[in-house]
Amino acid sequence: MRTDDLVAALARDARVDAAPIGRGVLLAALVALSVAVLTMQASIRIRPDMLSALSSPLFLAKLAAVASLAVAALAIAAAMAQPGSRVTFLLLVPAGLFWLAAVAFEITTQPLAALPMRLVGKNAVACLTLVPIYAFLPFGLFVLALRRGAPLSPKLAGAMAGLAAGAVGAFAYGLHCDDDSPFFVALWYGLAVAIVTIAGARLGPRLLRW
Amino acid sequence: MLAAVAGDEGSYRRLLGEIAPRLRAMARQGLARAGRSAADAEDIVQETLIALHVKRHTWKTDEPFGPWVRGIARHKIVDQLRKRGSGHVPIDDIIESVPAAEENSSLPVRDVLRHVAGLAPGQRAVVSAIFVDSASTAEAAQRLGLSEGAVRVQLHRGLKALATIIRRGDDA
Repeated sequence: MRTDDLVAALARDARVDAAPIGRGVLLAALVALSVAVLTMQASIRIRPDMLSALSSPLFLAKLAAVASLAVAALAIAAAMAQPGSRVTFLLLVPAGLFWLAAVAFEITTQPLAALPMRLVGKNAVACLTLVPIYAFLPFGLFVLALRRGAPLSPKLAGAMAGLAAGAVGAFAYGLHCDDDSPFFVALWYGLAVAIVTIAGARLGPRLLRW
Repeated sequence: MLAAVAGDEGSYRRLLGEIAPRLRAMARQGLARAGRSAADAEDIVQETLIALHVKRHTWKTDEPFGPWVRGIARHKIVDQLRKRGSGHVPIDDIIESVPAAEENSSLPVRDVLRHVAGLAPGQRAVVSAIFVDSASTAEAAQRLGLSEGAVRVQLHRGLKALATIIRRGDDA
């Protein structure tokens, strides 16, 4: 078959009917968040002191940091799936700043002797196991949304999908977890999100190939 | 491209027709560097055109078109070269400056036709009619006893399926 004939045939399929990538990613985000929160509620339930927590700055800061991470990662992933779009990793800065501030604050204000206990906290193991679990379905949803696009770097796009999924899982977990100390959050949520991010990077090349 | 997005068949056809020679040059250069036969070039061109077509909704209308095409073309061609066992092919430096290349009709060519056999019967019938027999939508509809709308749907699905088959890829 001559290429000219192929071109003619492709032209006959001219009309674009696929929805823009951004819309698909947004939809996936909303569903993912709902799924994660509902799973959390069905398993370990929202923290009992939620009403008072809502007026606690540390609690709100924790949720804000995680949420900004998810939003940034998804915006980056969506841009990556549309070749030629500018990809700004700077979007990750706010969440990064929170992380740095939390660690710095802890190191400068807390006595070193208390560090081991504050490091482990009460919920470290739960955090490390549940966040990836809650991130599982969100990751699947984000991958589905990104597959409709054309990510030029499937590995990096997978990492961003993992990062976003981890952040969504962490957000859901954060609604239950009653340890709001910035250091605990930075360490354990950070570690959990990192695990999901790395898994995303590993799976990216296979799942996001086109 | 804007016109093409709006469904203007003529503009889109001209556009793809202009892109093809550049893809051809990129493919030939990549194959030559890897010491492989240029007979595969047309195959690569066609598979890249299909990829561009199937992913055309990833172009944002307020973004420049050039980087979009280059991004997809580069990714797809490198992918194709790698599948054919060319290993890592540094392709970045050849894209901008290379002159457009015309199809060489004297070489025996492998082309995407071999993938059409893998399509579902309905899609295969429509894609064959339009590709192989150069039927128009109306002619294909008449021959296959379908409405024109149904032909368009089957063509659309068939092209997407073709892109998937190509992605999963034979390495022959």
